[in-house]
Amino acid sequence: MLKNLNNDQWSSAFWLGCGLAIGITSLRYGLGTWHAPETGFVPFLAGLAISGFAFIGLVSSTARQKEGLRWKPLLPEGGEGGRLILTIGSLFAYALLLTPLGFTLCTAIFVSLLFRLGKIRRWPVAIAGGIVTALSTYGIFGVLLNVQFPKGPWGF
Amino acid sequence: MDSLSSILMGLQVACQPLNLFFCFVGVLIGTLIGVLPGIGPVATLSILLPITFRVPPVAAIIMLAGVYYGAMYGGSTTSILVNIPGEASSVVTCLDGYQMARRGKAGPALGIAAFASFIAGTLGIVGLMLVAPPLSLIALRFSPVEYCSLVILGLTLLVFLSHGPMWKSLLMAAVGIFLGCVGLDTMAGFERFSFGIVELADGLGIAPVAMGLFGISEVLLNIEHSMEGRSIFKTKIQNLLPSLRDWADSIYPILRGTALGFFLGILPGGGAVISSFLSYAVEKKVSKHPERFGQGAIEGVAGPEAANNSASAGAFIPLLTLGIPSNAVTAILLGAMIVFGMQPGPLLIQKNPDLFWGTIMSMYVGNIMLLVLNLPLIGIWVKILKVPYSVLFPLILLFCLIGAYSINNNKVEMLIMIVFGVIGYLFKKFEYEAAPLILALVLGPMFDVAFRRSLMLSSGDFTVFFTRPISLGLLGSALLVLLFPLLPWFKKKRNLIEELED
Repeated sequence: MLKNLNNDQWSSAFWLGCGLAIGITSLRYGLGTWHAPETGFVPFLAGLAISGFAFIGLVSSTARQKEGLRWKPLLPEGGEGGRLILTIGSLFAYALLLTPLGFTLCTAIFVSLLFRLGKIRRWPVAIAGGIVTALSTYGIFGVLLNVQFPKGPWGF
Repeated sequence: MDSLSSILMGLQVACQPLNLFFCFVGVLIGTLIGVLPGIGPVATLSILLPITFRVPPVAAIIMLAGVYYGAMYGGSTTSILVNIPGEASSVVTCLDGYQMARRGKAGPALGIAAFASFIAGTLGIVGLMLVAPPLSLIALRFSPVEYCSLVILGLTLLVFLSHGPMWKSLLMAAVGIFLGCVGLDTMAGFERFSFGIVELADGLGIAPVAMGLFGISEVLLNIEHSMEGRSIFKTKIQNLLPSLRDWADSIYPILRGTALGFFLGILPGGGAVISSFLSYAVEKKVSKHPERFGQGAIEGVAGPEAANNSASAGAFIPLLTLGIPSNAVTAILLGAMIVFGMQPGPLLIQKNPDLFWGTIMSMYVGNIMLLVLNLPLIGIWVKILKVPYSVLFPLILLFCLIGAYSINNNKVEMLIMIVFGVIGYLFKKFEYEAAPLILALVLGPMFDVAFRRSLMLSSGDFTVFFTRPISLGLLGSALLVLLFPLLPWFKKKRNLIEELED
């Protein structure tokens, strides 16, 4: 049965859960009274609103399911889906490895990898592009604009 | 200070060498990102925002504003030459601009787009100068009750103008209000929903969230598609200066587009996009030869280009006078002003006249720069268009990462940006619009404080929102806006515009 649910049904069910979770968590912060609302008051109303609109969405998307609206796959088929996931993975890896590896090395690896994920077929070209990009961005942001980038154990 | 001396003071500020330089940088970057499909002004402003922290505030705002209206200029180039809009607001320019290029009239199409943008941009700024000061005087009488009603009207208008089902836009606005509440509650001094993460104590920053929702998500969506180079229609670009006949055909569409864009720009919710479509629809309606539209009618380029540029000037009115952003771009500008220690709103003219008048006058200067930039540099923009996306996307992602990192020099902002990038990608897949969320995120803290203060002042009496005339007017307008889509003739018109957009 779950297989037949469409995108809007899934997403509105998700938001319904989120809204309820926000509402319940807001109670911990205290709602206060009408004449003295407290910290949790507005987030509680927001949670309530999210649940309400999500419920409307659930009802309307269920009606559309009966009209034949079905699940549409999120990821494209073939290599593009893999490229997307690898790009997202590289972004997280960059954020986590920037401090231990240092800006220049981390950036060179990250950009080389992304160039390779694009249409640059040869590794040497991708690596050269990565190194040039890392050095030039360091020059612009690190030297000219004085952004304090982390230095790795290698001192760069 | 009378109007003339204010204008002169603004001109003096705008013409300072540093401000001129940053105005030039802003319009240049704006035109560039307008030319390049796949990166818009919202993402660019988000990326540049942390970098501007090292620049004097007035110069920074002048530059960021320049990026915004510069992008409106640049967007037309790709529409005309490649049939790919650089910006959402230039989508409609594709219809006739590209057809003109195919018929060997790329030069006049690009020329009239640049002149229409210049005329509309300049007239829009005149409108901004005339409307903003008196409006800010009215806004000085606003109490928390009026501010609360104003936020409700702003969000309602944005939801009304958004695409897709209304429940999705309202849901996004509610999520934005919630996210705006994350961090320290300024009234009670307690932290909410920060779950012990120190960096969240100040709330979710607009820049990483906007960069994620608009920048990263756009790249993720684009890399799903083929990375083959764009094919540029091969034509000799000549006669950039429109002929007298072209002017005769275009002048009224330009003036109509300017007026339409300016007033729609004031309303929250993608004024530039809506106004360009509406201008096209109006021109087609009033034309004696509507059958020429879609076949290369110059009016179909002049009107929408004028409309999207004057809309960007109009969008500054609620920002500068009420402190209410009308779209995602002005929301980021609002965030920038707050970071610089300024509070956009009715007191801005009095407290920061250099910023207010300096920014307005810099727009005049910027418009002249854009006209000078656009016509002779079209050849360079065409060459830039040939840069393959496989080279461009790693650089866009890297600039986003550097921008996020430089906010506080730590990885948390980067991680927030990436998470919102993935969320933004999913929003696009599930057909949710991010604009109501980002606007509500900015307005959330204001709404939280204004709503609770209003209830405290009235001892919990909700009728306070309906007994004060301005508040009643604002809420009444919001109600009308919500009821409007139920009218059959409106449904018909809206469907027509959506069909045109598709």
